[in-house]
Amino acid sequence: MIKAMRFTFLFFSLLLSISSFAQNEISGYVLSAKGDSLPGVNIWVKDSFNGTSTDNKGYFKLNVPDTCSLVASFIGYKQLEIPVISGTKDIQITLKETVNELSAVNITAGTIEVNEKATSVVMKPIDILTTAGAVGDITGALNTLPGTATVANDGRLFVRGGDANETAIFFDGLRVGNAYGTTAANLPTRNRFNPTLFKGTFFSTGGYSAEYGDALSSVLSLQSIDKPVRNQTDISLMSVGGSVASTFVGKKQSVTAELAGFDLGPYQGVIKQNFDWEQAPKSYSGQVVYRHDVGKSGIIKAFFQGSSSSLELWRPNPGVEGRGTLTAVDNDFLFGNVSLAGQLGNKWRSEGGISISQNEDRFALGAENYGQENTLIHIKEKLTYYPSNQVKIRFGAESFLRNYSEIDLNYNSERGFKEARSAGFSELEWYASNDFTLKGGLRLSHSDLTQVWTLEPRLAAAYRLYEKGSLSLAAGLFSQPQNDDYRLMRNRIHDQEASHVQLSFQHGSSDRTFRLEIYNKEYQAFGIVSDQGALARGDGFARGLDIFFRDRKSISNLDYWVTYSYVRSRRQFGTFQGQVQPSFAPEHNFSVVTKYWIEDLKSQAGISLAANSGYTYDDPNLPGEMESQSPYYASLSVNWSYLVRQNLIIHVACNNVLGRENVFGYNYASQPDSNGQFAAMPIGQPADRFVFIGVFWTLSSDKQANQLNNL
Amino acid sequence: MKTKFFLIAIALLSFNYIIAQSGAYQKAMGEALAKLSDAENPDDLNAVSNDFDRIAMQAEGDLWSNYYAVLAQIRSSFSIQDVSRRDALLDNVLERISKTQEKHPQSSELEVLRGYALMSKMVIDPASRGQKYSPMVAQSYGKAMAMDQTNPRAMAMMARWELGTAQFFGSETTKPCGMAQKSIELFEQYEPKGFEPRWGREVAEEVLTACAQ
Repeated sequence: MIKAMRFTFLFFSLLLSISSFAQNEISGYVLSAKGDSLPGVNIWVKDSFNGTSTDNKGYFKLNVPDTCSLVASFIGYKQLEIPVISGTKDIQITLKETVNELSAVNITAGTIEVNEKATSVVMKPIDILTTAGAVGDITGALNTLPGTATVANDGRLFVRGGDANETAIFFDGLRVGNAYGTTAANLPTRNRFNPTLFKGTFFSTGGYSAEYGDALSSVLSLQSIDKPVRNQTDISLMSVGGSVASTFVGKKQSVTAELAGFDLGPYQGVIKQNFDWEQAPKSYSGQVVYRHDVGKSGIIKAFFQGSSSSLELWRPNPGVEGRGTLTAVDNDFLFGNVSLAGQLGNKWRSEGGISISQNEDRFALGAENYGQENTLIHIKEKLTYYPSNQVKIRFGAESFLRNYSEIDLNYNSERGFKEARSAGFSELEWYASNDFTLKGGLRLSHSDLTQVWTLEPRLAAAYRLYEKGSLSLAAGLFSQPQNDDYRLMRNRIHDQEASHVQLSFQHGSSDRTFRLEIYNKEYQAFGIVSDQGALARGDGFARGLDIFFRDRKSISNLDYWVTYSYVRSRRQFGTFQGQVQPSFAPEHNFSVVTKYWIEDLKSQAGISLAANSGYTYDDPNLPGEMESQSPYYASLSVNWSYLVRQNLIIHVACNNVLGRENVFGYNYASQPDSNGQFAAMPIGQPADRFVFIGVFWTLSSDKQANQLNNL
Repeated sequence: MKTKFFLIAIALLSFNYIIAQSGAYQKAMGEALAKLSDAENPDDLNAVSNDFDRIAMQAEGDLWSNYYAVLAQIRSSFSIQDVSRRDALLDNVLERISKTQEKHPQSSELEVLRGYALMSKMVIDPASRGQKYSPMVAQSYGKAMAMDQTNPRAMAMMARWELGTAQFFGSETTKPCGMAQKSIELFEQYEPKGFEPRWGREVAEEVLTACAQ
């Protein structure tokens, strides 16, 4: 053994000494395949310390042995080895760019990523909390983005002329049933999930990948945090309730648990309301997140949330004196989700899991009493294979099990349906060069209820026009089950279908971005109600253009974005005889969000404006369908966050600060009065303004932090 | 047959060992360190980091060549304006620190670099990244201090970090100032061996100057 060591030592000393003999100076020049000179390239003689770097014009000089190999290495380029033959004086080295997912051009058509990566130029996770008007609601913040329409008396996400239930919502890749709280008609709802749970959000306004099914217009995918940083307790006291959340971080695992309670009663006692409340909205909820590392790169996450809410209000009836009809809503919701993700060797990645959503609603409308029960189970497994840096192959399978029933509590009668849907998908993503990306996929699904097999192709491509500008295209076929009302009437009714085509241009960097998209969406097989019951015979379209501009650079401490979305949407659905503009698709939509950091006051101030050209409604006193339109909608919101200390924030916000009396349409009497007219009553806002005050306090029991205090 | 494999394995292992101990390694490190202390701009820093990279390639898993290559890269990252490029560089750096830590799990100095790299990542966009990265930076410096209570650099970097935070929130600066003072004392007693780092005193002094105002 010692002999061997000695031998190696001698051998290498010999090599070193030989190489120091015959030296030969060579001059070199390094350039990229595109012809640009490359400064800072690492150049060395193979298996030695002998080397240098290219200067800022791409030139280098190096003393090399008579015959050797030179190696050139530069970040973003493939390492190259060049044999140098005896007597060489000049050498030119051309390096080729490495092409991979990170360096290749992104497909931006219809895609809005919200995360901390540099590529997510549209929105960051923190924006959800700091956008005036959103009041910490994920949907509220997304409603300031291109392709969405603010429907303020509903509160859900409406994308490109589509209904709210055309957007499928996922939590760690698994579908959520009833992702919004249950409310009464014309009372806006919120997304059930606390935005601080998530590290990132993927929001697509169309043309999404084959991985996503049962979604006609849009996909919202929420990704929860993998690793909280430290032990901490967060306490929130708000004008409408409060919450306590604690996080414990271990070496390989962590747990976060939260309890929250909201009661708008005290608030409504102080601020005048337009609605006649019998019992203000109240809700209680609890959630637990558990995360555990598996192996080197794997993680298992389990999430559970349970909540209960109720409200009661009087609804006046058009043309009738008095308080009207008492409406009561009770809701119980449970959601659980377990997911496992990790690498399988170098070339494979596996992601899978199961989610269960269970929702129970009880409605009392005057003498009517009915309930709805919905259970959704989603099981999914997805494998990604990376045969090379330039190719990604994804495939997987999933099942949706659904059990829905509606119960008439007065007569104790029940009707409903059960369904199992299964789907398989596969997709190929190819980074042909850093300037061209192509993605194609297929999705095959089957429902045991409709007994129909559906095959849907999806295609997307992106091309870099110049360094900061790219063009992308996405298209595909999409479908989703009919709304529950139609399925109750006809269990086996055919799915709704849509085709999307969209073209997107994006220019910019992380601090200044401009995006323009045009799209066309054709719908068919909408549910309609005819004298033969529910039929999948409606059709329609939505086409338009979205413009987005965000700038965080021009004025220091000011971050703002401007969105304009135009959509022309017509569809035949429900009881309409022909195609109409639906009430949830205002033609012109405009929003501006501004945030200004005031250093001296340790505060961030925000102003947002949301506006649209008005909502269509049907006036039974006029001929035609959906022939009328409400005045324009506008709401100006402000907020102020004050950082008292590192761990204490005071947040004050006011929505619709100018108190504009927005009208969303009219309710009409079911019978005409003595003059033959249907009496009308405007559908307005629950209150002219919404005021929010919150104190957010973080207690950290960081071991290291404590240790420092002992100094 | 088996013994042959064993011999080859030992020979390969000792190759690295010999290289690391060899005069060539010492010489290359010495030259690169001199260049590092003279480096004035991002181009210089990049060239120095290339020098250390070449040494690290010959002496796989070697602590100091990797350490200085990473240090030069972090220093140059602060002048990169392009967010994607800067993120890519720093992600690379963080990965390399983790990889080197596998072989040198007890190195307090590597943990200081992790905090430094995370800080460069955070200042790209404090408004949106602060919430996530601030605790991570403090945690790394804290961990480095816990790993080696006599590490003056860990103390100096933490002092600078805490001072920045205190100034931002307009709170008391007693703690960071005390830490900077303590760091200077640690530097007085610090006797670096071999290629152990010597930088950081200027950081503590900078904090003390700010404290005096």
